Amino acid sequence: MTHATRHYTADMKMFALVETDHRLLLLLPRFNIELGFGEQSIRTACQKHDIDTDFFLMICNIYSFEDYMPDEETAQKVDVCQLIAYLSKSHGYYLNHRLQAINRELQAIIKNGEKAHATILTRFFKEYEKEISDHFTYEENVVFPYILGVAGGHKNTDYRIDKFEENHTNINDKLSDLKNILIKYLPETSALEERMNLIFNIFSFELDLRKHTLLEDWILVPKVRQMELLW
Amino acid sequence: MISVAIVEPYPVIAKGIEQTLRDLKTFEIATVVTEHCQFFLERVLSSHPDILIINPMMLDLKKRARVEELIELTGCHRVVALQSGFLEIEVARRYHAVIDIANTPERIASKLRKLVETELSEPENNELSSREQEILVCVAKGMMNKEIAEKHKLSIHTVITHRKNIARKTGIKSVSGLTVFAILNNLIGIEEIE
Repeated sequence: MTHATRHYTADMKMFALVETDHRLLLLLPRFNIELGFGEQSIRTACQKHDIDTDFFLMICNIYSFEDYMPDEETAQKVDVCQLIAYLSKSHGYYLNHRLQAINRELQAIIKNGEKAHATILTRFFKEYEKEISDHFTYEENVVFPYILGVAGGHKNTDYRIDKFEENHTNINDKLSDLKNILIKYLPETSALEERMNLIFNIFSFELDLRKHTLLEDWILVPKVRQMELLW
Repeated sequence: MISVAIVEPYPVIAKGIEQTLRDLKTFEIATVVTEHCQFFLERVLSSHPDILIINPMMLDLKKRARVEELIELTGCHRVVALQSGFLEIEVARRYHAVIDIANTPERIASKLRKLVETELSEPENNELSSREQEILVCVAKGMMNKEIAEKHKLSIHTVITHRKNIARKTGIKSVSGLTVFAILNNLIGIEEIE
């Protein structure tokens, strides 16, 4: 690997990881890793929490480095069940924390503005929330159980991962639209500070979702397709 | 690198221009369209070239001189006519430059370079044109492309191109996002959407 030095390695300290890219803080709860890791290396922290170190590194690398693409060997080694557990935890975090926080902040911003603006933005956000929650629900109820079945050796003749790929809709458009509306088009309201915070939050959620989709499209789908071939 | 889109009906001429530009090293080819298909404007639009080289023969007779329309539909602000046969002088002078297949490669290169070096008269205007605003209102009301095309007597492809331009100019892609935009800009009242 030619870029190895530019990516994270197992011997790096946990605090150095977070210091290099503080956005990774968001991922720690999905691995049940808590703060206060002192001088622990990534390897030690992973062992302590029963996480595959290579898997953890791969996720962090994908998250931090735009040019990072896991090599064949790393992708091969990924345990599908572990990946699904991670994706599932991310879904929960998005639905129960991220979206709710964004909604709260949005409401705070529009409540003092023009009524029509508040109405249309509230409607817009509800639609977006439904779209994203339908998307995740489908994955949780149909796609993930199917994959776990395949991993456990159960043949299912009704479904194929290609079907998932066809329906894997873009959940980023509306979020980016909301961001642009808040930056460019919503007239001044009295809540400048809140609006800034909200925009920061949307940027960060956007990145999170983009990387989430990459994991599904680059790692999960090819893996399942390979398992299907072995039937 | 200067990126160039080539729209020319004859494959041999298109290939010749493409190779000539590639040999000159400072140019890269964004897209080459030869067949006469109605999507060629969209293909140019999505390849974001610095320069569009087009044989006016690709366009209907009455559209050949309307370079502003080409600019609006392709988003490319430097449009060069490629002359391989007769070209009316009134048409030719509307284009930012004319290159002739009889020109030497050096001559072609210098014309194209000069064009890129000339500052564009004004930065791209991101205000929606009145036609775009009309179409945006239709979109916000939930109309389908076909309905919009019928209402405004446009082809569906033109409606799609206008919609792409609206998305590019506003930075908003979804229909519901565009509806919000239309309300915030008072293009439509909240009671007009169901």
